[in-house]
Amino acid sequence: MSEPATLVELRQVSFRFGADAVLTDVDLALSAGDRVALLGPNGGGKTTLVRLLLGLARPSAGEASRRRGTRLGYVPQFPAFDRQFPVRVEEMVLQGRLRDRRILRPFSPEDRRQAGELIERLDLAALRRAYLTELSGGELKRALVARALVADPDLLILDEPTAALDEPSRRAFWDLLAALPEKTAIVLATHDLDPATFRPRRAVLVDRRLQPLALDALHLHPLVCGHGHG
Amino acid sequence: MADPGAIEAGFGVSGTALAAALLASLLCGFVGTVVVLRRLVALGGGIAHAAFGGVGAALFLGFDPRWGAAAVATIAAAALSPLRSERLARQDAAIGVLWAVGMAAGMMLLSGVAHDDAQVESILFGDLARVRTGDLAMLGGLALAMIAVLVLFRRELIATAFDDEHARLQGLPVGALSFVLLLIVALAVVSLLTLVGVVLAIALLAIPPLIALRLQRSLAAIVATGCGVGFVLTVGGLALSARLQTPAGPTIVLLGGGALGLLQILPRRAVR
Repeated sequence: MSEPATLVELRQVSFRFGADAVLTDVDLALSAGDRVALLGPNGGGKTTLVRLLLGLARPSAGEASRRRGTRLGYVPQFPAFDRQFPVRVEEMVLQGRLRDRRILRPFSPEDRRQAGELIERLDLAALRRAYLTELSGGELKRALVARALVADPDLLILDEPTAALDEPSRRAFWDLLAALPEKTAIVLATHDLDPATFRPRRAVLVDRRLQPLALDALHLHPLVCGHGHG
Repeated sequence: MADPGAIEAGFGVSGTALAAALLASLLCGFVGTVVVLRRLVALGGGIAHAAFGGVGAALFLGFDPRWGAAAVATIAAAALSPLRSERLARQDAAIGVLWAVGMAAGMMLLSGVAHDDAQVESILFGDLARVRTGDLAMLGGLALAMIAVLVLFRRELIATAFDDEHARLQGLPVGALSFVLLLIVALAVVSLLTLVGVVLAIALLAIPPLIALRLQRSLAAIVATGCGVGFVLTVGGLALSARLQTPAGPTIVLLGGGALGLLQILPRRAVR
């Protein structure tokens, strides 16, 4: 069998913000089917690493590459958009299907079906026609998850995805993640990993540099649920 | 032979002025909504004042001032669009510089051509009496072209205006789309220069959609209401200025400012 295709690769990447070295000498490759946990303290550079992987930030040094045509799904920790923008939940989720639509063509019935299905599964059916200002923090997060998943991503990157969710929503979210196709690469950035919900195949400590963590000793790590927070 | 501009359409408003008001109100609704939602009001103001520099340069060199305004506005849009989102602080500074330098260059060049104060004033504050049928054809062509682009590419443009990061992840040409939006704003500002002048053009793009945002929720309704409010304000302002013998541009803008102020005082629930 051939090696799984590399989707995204960072080689000797550093990222500076002014004089501040946020990340130094990062090497990380993500392939189809990867399940990676990015652990690390707040301010350790997790979000910057995520943005480098997505191509939303450019390395100050080193090289970032992405396989052509890689579909990306991203659930940001804090969305960058204006919640006052007059867009309904359904319209926002459909924006995750823009890639497959030829320019000038409307969304297809299939686009709408997939968006509708995810809206339902994330328990947003009653809010389908709601504007973003009408959503709670958790509801908005679920809508963002739906927008990321509707793109049928090859690589799904989640930055603290469950931070605003209540317990039933969390469970629904992890079930949804577990049901994703095996080939989907998933990267979870968190300062608080619960191994009962997400079982990574690799774990990396992000604290200005990257340091691989042994999976069998993960439960002893202070950033893993139940063992830390001082 | 009578210019249509000379025909009175009623309330002291000429047919040409009425047609210009109608076209301007389409820009208020379509382009103005982009300006307000994408937070381009300051940028649009900067482009308008930079365009004044273009007007001065064109008159100095003996060209049609509209071409000077359009050329400078296009260059300003191209120069500012790469600065968007990534370096907002720098864009803010660039707008301020553009604003002042455009104004200074325009004044300097106009003083060199030794035109009378009335002409400078009409460029700054607009002069509907100067609107000719040829101006209308240009304004109409430009307005329809801009609206066609906004409608045809609405999904891509909305996605980019709403969340450009996500649009980029979807593989949309975000740089090109952002430039198109800025270019449309720049050309809309230039189109409105004849009507209300450099200083007031951006107010005409901002006030009607701001009023519409207080009254409507869906994007389509905001655009439609923006057009309607724009029409009522421009025609109402023109009629008022004819009656009160006040300059048209400032009358239109003050009428809009008053209406917006009134809406702000009313509780939101009473409005929607």
